[in-house]
Amino acid sequence: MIRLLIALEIMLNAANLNFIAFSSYGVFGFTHPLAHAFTIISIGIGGCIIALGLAIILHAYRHYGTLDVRELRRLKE
Amino acid sequence: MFTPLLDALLFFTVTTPLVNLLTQKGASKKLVSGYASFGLALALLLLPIFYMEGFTQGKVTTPLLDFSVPPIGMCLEIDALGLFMALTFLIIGLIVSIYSFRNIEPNQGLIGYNTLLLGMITGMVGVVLAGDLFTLFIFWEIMCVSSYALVAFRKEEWAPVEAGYKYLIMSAAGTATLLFAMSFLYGLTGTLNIAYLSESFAQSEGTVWMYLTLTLIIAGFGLQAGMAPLHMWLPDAHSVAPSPISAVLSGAMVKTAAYGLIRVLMFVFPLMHGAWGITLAIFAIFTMFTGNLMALLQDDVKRLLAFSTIANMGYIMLGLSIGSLRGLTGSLFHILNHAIVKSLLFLSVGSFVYRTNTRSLKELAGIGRSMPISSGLFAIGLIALAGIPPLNFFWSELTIVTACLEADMLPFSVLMILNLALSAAYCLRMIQTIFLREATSISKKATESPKIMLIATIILVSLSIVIGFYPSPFQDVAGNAAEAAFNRQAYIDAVFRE
Repeated sequence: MIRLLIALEIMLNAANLNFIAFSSYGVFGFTHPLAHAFTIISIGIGGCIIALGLAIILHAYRHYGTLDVRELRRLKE
Repeated sequence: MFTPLLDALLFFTVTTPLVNLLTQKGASKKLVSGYASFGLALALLLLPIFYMEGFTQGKVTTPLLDFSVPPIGMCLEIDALGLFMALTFLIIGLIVSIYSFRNIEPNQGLIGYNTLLLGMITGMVGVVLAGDLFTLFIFWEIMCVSSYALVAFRKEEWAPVEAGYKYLIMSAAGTATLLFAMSFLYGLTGTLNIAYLSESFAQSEGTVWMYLTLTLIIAGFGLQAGMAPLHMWLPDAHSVAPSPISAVLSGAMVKTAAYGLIRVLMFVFPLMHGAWGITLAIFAIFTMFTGNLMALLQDDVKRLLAFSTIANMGYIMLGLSIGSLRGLTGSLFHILNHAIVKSLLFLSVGSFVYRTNTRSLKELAGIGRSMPISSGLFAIGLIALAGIPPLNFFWSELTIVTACLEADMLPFSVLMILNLALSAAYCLRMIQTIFLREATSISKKATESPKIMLIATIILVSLSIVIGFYPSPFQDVAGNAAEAAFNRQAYIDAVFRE
């Protein structure tokens, strides 16, 4: 379950990196400020999501006694 | 800071925990719920006071421009489309917060509940009033994070935790997709302001990058809207959340995703309608069939209603995919109707669950005798959901089907009518189970639900009946909103004029 969150973090980071890459793409030697502002806020938001995810995982561990995401299938039955 | 409307909502969101501090020192527990309801009612009052012109004359206003200048600074942009959605969300939010006086018992952490509910509504209103994708993303995340926490709210049980985890992973992946799409839009144009984006893409034909961006946008918003291959989280999350929260999730939150699709597709990619129109229409049909066929198989009432939400999102997306004024009017009108009826149904099921503690349709059989008023209201909602003429669903579905026929999309309208028949089948089956079957031991013991819950439900039923009998004024409002979506020039001018 925690690896899924790590994967999520990587996805968000990919998008952030893309923003930073595009910010210095247009004019040589000049970086666009919008992307930097956006990225900082987006990193913060990513942190919120991961923190909430970890809190939910903690409760899931108390109910299921495992961190294996394949065990979380009871709702399908 | 923003506009009076958003300021009020943010203020109440932040101060609700402080009010709760008072209740721990002996004040009434009802105070917190009352405070939250008051905040939403105030916001609902502020909306017409400040933005009446936006509704009636389609005036586009852009606050915040004094100190933050587009294309770089953040801005809000308020037009008839956004106001229409904001009004829908605030109505649902207010009614749900009135209903929550009783459904969430005080010892279950009322602070968190009311704060998160207000946060979710604030996020939704912020999304629809945002003028650039930056602001839209921030409010989108406020909405999403609050809803993850609310789905997993009853953490002592296993089901909400499992559904909450699934929802968090899928929805956050959708958000990351959206973020990626935004980074491409930024890379292509150097701005995230919707008006500037609209202006930059006004002449450009589709390049590979634009098609990639379009795919990511449809996937990202589609995931939140419960589009068919990406809908797996929706029935789980909507069925195990506390009932008032299911009402907000199903009634209002999936509509923000529909709004996102409307805003981005109609304003940024209007020239590529040939590409996204047919794609979205095919996905819409697929979504409808998934929703309706799965709903026919369910025994859990809330899960059934969640699948029906998926089907209705299919109708809304079909209306959008047509790309004509009438189609979009139908979609927006259906958004309003579906918000009212689906929250009505979830709130009535909530009062059954409150009294009987079960969601199984087999065990709820015959409950019409012991809870006549709640079941009667539930049945009216079901008749509306089945699309039977004097109630509101009929009019919006009719508009979408006629728009489909006008646009020479005969196969799609035939498939949609087939779906309407399927949905009528499960609605009538539920009415039959609740009223005509032999009462089970559980449903015999049930007593009528508390007054405050009935009042909240009755408001929604009367709205549904009023729209059913007098559809034209409401349809005109939806039509104004749809016109605003087609009037890109006014939207662009409002930013450039400053």
